[in-house]
Amino acid sequence: MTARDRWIAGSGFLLLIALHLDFWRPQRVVLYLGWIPEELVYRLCWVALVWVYLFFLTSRLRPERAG
Amino acid sequence: MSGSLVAFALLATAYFGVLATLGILASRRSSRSPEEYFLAGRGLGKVVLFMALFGTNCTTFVLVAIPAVAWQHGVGIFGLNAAVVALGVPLTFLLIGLPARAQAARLGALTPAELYAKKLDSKAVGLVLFGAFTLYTIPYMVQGVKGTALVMSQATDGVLPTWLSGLCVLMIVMLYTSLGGMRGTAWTNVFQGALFMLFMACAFVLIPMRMGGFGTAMEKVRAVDENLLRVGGDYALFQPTAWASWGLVISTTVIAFPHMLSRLLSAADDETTRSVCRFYPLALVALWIPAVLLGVLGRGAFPELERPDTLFYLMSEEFLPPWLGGVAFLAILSATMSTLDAQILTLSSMLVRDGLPSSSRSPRTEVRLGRIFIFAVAMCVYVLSLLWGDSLFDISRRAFEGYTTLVPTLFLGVRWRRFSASGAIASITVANLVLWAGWNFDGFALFGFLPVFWAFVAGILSAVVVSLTSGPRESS
Repeated sequence: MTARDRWIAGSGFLLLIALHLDFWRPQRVVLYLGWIPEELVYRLCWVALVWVYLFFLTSRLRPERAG
Repeated sequence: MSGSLVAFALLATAYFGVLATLGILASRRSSRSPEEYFLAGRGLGKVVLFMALFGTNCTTFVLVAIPAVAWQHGVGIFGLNAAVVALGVPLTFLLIGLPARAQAARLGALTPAELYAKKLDSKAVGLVLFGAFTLYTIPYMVQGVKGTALVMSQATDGVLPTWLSGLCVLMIVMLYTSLGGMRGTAWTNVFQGALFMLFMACAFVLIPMRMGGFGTAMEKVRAVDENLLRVGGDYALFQPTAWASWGLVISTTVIAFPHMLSRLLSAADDETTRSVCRFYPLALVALWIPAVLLGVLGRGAFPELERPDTLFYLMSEEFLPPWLGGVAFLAILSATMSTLDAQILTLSSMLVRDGLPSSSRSPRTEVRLGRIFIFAVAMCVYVLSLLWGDSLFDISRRAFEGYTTLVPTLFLGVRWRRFSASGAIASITVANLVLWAGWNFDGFALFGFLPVFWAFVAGILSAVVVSLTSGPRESS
C-alpha cells in the first residue's frame, strides 16, 4: 500500500463511520415508492459506499506487511 | 399423524439425508491428518469458503431474534446491526484474517489459540485464549439450540417437545461433523446457506404480497406505531453513544468467533479471502433486509405478541403456502446447524490442540480425539440449553460483547511486531474484568457508552502499555 492508498483508506473509513453515526440527520417517516422507509434507503446507500470501499481495499491490502 | 406432520417428517428426513451424505463423502478425505480434518487441508476455494463463512455467521440470531427485535423496535434495527456489520466483518477479515491465515500456515497452527500461542511463543496465551473462546462460544451455541428447538417444537405442534427437538438437531450435527470434519461442514454449509438464502428471498416477496402488497402492509405498520419506520422510540441502543458502542461490538465481534477465524485459516490462498470480503456486504443485505422487514411487517399483522421470538414461525404459517412453511423450518435448521457444526468442530480442535498437554500423539489419534470431543461438547451444550432461561437476543448479546474483548489481542498479535505475550494476557484479562464489572455494577456506562466500549479501550491500552514495558519479543 502506498502512502496515498493509506490516506484514501483512512479517510474513507472515517467518512463511513461519520455517515453511520448520523444523528445530525432528521428522522422522518417517508416511504419511498410507497413502501421503503427512508431509514432503509439511507442505510442501503451507505452499504453501497462500503462495497466500493472494500473493492478498493481488497485490491491494495497485502498480507506481507503483517508483523 | 396429520398430513402436514407427515410432509414435515419427509422434508426433515430428506434434509438430514443430504447432510449425512455430504459428511460421508467428505470423510473419505478428512481422516488423513489433523490438518485435513480440522482445516480441510487449508484448501477451501472461493465459493465454499464464502458459503462456509456466511452460513456460519448467520444463525437463529438473524432468522429468529432479529425479526423479534425488529417487531419491537422497527427498521432502525437494520442500521444498528446489518449496515455496520457489512463494513466491520470484511474489514476485520482483511486486517486480521488475511495475515492470520498466512502466519498459521507458516507456523503449522491449526486453531486460533494455537496460532497466537506459537506467534507469541507462549503456551499461557494459548490457554487464556482457549478459555475465553470457550467461555463465550458455549452460550452462543446454547442460543442456537434453544432457538431451533423452539421452532421445531412449534412446527410439529408440540409432537416433538423442545428437549427432544434440541437433541435431534445436535445428534445430526454430531454425525456429519465427526465424519467429515472441516471439509464436511464446509460442504454442508454451501447447501444450508443456499437453502436459507433462497427461503428468505421467497418470504420477502410472498409475505408482503399476501398481506395485500408492500404499500398496504407498511401502512398497517404505520397505523400501529409510526416510530417503527424510523430510528425512534425509547430503545436504549438507539441513543447515540449506545448506538456507537453497539456498532463497535457487532462489527468487530465476528472475527473473534473462533469458528469464523478457523474457517479463515482454511482458505486456499489470499485471493480467496479477498473475494469473500468483496461479496460479504451483498449477501448480508440480501439476508438482513428480509429478516428486518419480516419483523416490521409482522407488527402490522400481529400487533400484540407475548413472545416475539415466535414471530418468524407465525408469519411463515400465516402467510406462506404449507410447502414453503416446511422450507421455513428447514431454513431455521440450516442457519443453526451451519453454525453449530463449525462451533463444535472448533471447540473440539482447540480441546485437542490447546487444552490437552502436548505430547507426541499420532495424527490418527488426534483425529480420533477430535471426534470424541465433538460428542462431549455437543452433550454439554445440550444440557445447558435445557437449563438456560434467558431470551435468545440477551444470550447472544452477552457472548458478542465477550468476544469483542479479544479483538485487540487478535489484531495486534498478527499486525504489531512489539506485541508480547504479557501484553496479550494483560489485554484479555483487563478487558474482561471491565466488561464483567460493567455487567454487574452500575456506573460503568460512562458518557452513555456501553461497558463493552470501555472494556475494548481498556484492552487496547493494557496491550500497548504492557507490551512496550515488557520489551520486544525475539523474532521467530
